[in-house]
Amino acid sequence: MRWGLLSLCCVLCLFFRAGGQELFILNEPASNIPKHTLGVRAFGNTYRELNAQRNMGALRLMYGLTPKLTVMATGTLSNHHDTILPRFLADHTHSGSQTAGATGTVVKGLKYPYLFNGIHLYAKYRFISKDGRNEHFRAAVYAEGSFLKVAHDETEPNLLDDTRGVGAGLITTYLKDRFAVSFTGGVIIPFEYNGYMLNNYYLGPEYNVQTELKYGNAIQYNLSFGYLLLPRHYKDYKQLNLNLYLELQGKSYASAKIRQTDVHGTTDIQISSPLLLANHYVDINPGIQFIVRSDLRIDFSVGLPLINRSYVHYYPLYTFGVQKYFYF
Amino acid sequence: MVALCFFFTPLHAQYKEAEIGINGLTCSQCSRSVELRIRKLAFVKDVQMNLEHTEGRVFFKEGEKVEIGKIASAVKDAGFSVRYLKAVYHFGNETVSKDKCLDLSGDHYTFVRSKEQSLTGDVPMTFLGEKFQEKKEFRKWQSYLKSNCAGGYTYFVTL
Repeated sequence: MRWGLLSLCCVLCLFFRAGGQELFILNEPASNIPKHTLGVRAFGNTYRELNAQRNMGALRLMYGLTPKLTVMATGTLSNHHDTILPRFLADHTHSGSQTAGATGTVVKGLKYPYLFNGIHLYAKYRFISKDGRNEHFRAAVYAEGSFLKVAHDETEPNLLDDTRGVGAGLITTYLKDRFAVSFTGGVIIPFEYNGYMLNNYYLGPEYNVQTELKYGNAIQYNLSFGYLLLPRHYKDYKQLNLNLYLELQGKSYASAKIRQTDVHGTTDIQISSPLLLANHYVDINPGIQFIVRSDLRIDFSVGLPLINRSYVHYYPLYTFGVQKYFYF
Repeated sequence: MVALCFFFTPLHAQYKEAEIGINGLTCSQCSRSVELRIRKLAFVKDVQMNLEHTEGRVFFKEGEKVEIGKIASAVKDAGFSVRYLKAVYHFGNETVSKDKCLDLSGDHYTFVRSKEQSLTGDVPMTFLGEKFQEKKEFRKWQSYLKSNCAGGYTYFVTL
């Protein structure tokens, strides 16, 4: 929290003193990929969850169908989830590679494998463009949907790699000289997970409990700032570009609902785990980006909690990415 | 024979180069996107971008028909807009006059607010229209853009 506020103050001071880039590391700008251009982005994140290192890797293909319409498809791989929901789902907490229940019993042996989570699709349509010399204001609408089947055990929906569902929203981006600012507001409507919850390690899978987990609907609100630090003066494409970013990512979501079916019938489960209860938070993500030969983007950011915290990851959350365009 | 060859040579080489100002650009990667889109045009020989001033110079291949409108479209396809577009045309003693339709290299041209004169040699022309100008400039010229050409697309230019 303290580091988050400190970095927010430092970067905001820098921005307002000088004035950017909208090639944001985490949030999408309202601008599009050029028509008939393919963008390829490999990115991932990692964080330490007590004794376990959680990793996610993604490959994104982006294409400019028209100057105003960009489509994207992203496949993700991670060790964030088990193959089924954890034991004591309604009152569980995470402890490294283990899941702890309300009884205080630490269930050993839960090792999360690397799994292919599924595909995330995204489309963005730019409907306002007000261009000036070294500046522009743009607005776009986006829609997204994900085809995932992973045993995500927190209520916070995340369409990229955690929950199946749909989402939509609005992006506005203003860019002037070296400074860029962008706001994204949107909704996420996750679909429920139908699967099984682990009942007992020593019993066979036939004893696992059939579980419907309805994740909470969410609204997200992201604010990104970008600043072109280098070069001070453009001469040619060979100059290394250095961009600084500060991205705020906020989300507010509802509590989960759990319904389980066993030999006794179907029951709505009372939830006590904070991982499954309504919450709102804002993360702050300072980041740095290098653009090599005006072609290859290499970026890195660190996520820290600013207001409350997210329960789908620990902090600091390190994100890295490499991106390149291919022109057809 | 030489006369016949000359007669059948396509008269497409009259455009020498164009200069284009681009709005909305602030990064070198964006500038490169614009350059690569323009370079895809069959009649373009070379492009030199000025990143600092967000301007570009476009050089044309000899013997190829230059379609100025496609340069503006390439900028738009890259996600940006044209601030201004000027092109140098090699005239061979053609007479232009205000609002008169003139055919050059197979395209219709209307010279807006230009006095009657004969043009010879390399003459820069500024293209007018929503596609070639930023909005506030276009609004100043909009009322003058009336074509007297019969059929087809008309380029509005001023000297």
